[in-house]
Amino acid sequence: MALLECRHLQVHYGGIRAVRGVSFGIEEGEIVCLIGANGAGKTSTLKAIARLLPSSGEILYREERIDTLPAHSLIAKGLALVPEGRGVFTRLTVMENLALGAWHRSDAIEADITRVFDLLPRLAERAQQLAGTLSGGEQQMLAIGRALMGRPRLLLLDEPSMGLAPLMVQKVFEVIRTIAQEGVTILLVEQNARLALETCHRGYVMEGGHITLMDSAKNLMTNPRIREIYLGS
Amino acid sequence: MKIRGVLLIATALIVAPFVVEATMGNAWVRLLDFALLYVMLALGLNIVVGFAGLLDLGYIAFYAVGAYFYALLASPHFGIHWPIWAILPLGALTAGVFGVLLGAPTLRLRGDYLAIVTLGFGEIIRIFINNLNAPFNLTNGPKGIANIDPGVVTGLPIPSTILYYYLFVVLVLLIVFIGLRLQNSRIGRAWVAIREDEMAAKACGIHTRNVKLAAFAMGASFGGVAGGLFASFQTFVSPESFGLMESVMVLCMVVLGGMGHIPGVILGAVMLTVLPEIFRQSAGPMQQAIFGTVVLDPEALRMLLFGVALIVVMRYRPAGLWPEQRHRREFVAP
Repeated sequence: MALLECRHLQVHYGGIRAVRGVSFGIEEGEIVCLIGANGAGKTSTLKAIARLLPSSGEILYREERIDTLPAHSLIAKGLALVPEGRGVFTRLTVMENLALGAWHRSDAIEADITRVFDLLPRLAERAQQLAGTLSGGEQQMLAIGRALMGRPRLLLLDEPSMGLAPLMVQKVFEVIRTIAQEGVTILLVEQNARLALETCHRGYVMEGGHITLMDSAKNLMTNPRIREIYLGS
Repeated sequence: MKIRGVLLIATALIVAPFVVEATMGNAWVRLLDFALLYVMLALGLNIVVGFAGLLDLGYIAFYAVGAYFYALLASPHFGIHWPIWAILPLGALTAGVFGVLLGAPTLRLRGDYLAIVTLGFGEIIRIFINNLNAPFNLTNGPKGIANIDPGVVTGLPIPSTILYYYLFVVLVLLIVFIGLRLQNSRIGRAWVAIREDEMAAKACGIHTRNVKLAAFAMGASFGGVAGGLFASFQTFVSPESFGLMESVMVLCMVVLGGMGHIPGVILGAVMLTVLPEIFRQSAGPMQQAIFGTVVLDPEALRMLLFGVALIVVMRYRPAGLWPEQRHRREFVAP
């Protein structure tokens, strides 16, 4: 049984159908990516899973319907989102941001902070700095660190490479791989298809609100059509 | 060192009314009392606007609810004469319920949209109070409710303004204490998260609806307490005390002092109560001395200077006169 499964998921914005009935699943321990052009419905799909957008169709997480649940209840179930554009609390310190990631928990969070700082040493250096003063890459790291504070089983990452310098993008993806190795399942939405496919086991290709292709990352990398449209070669 | 500071402040708070009365007269003690009422209001609004980032332009409605709640339960209007200590907590609760009533339908709104709706809410409450003298005379309409029971013992050798001063100081201290505790609490952090990024706050597992309602309820209940005290202090309430301008004034106190920073908000409230009064009393004689006649009506001049002061402060201290340390850093150009 899949860790996450979407069945005929649809998202509407007023009269516009952004996601037109997609079905897919993710197994425990996988890194799966959704790739596609701007406006293909990737982010809408992810936001719908995180319950930040109303949708129709079924979303099952660990065999439980979550499409009827409010967004804030998901983190306690182990489903965390790193939002598009990072969404760090800019006027709070790094430490306060991390603490908010564990807001729903009532137990001690020191061990988790240490773990995040081990994984993201730059954050440790800047623990008392305001998040707004961090570089884009550091903010992305902070957003990931904050999501990890909720001890997720499934991490939804929305465009983690957006607006970052190439070197920083590499670093962010290294971190994503490390998190995956520690046993967190990852669903990644990414416009940088090459990077996404290099990182993932499997990929779904979205076009115009539909999933048009699913294959292993290796096969997608060699698929001539994908190479032409998304990999630019 | 810290204990000495606390003792110093405590002594200053205790002797202040006597010093003011001896040097400037009872009218200024009265003004001091009003300053304390505005401190309570500003601290309440600070929770909604400063902590949770929800722009509320109808805040004075909760002041009105608290004031009328007190007036109805301690005046000859219905012949009910409850003691102040029984009414104030209930008044706070009632105002809190009104806060939730306002909050619930506006949960999806932010910024300017929320401001418009809250502004409307404030006016609705005032207009209701103005018109609820028929078919059943609840509020006595525009005539207001008079002969409200005072909240302190009268007939003592000490003027009642000074007694009120102590009552208000105690309640201000209580509100400051609650405010500080809230700020550093779980819910305080959730408010700040919502202010910063509501979507991310949800993703962090914050129940944004309840947390926002808590901010509205908390802020409103402080306003309700201030309103009850106002009614007992004035022994008279009427709808015209609760106009839009009052909401705007309280908002100015919060913004001018330093949004989200309790000491700054207190400073803002005291300044905006006391300074206009000093100005009002000195503008006339000063013109008399310079021009030999009063050229401009002090009242009109007061609003003009008030506007100029706001612009100057916002231009040079956009985070307020006494902002939170972190806030100040943010506004300073790198």
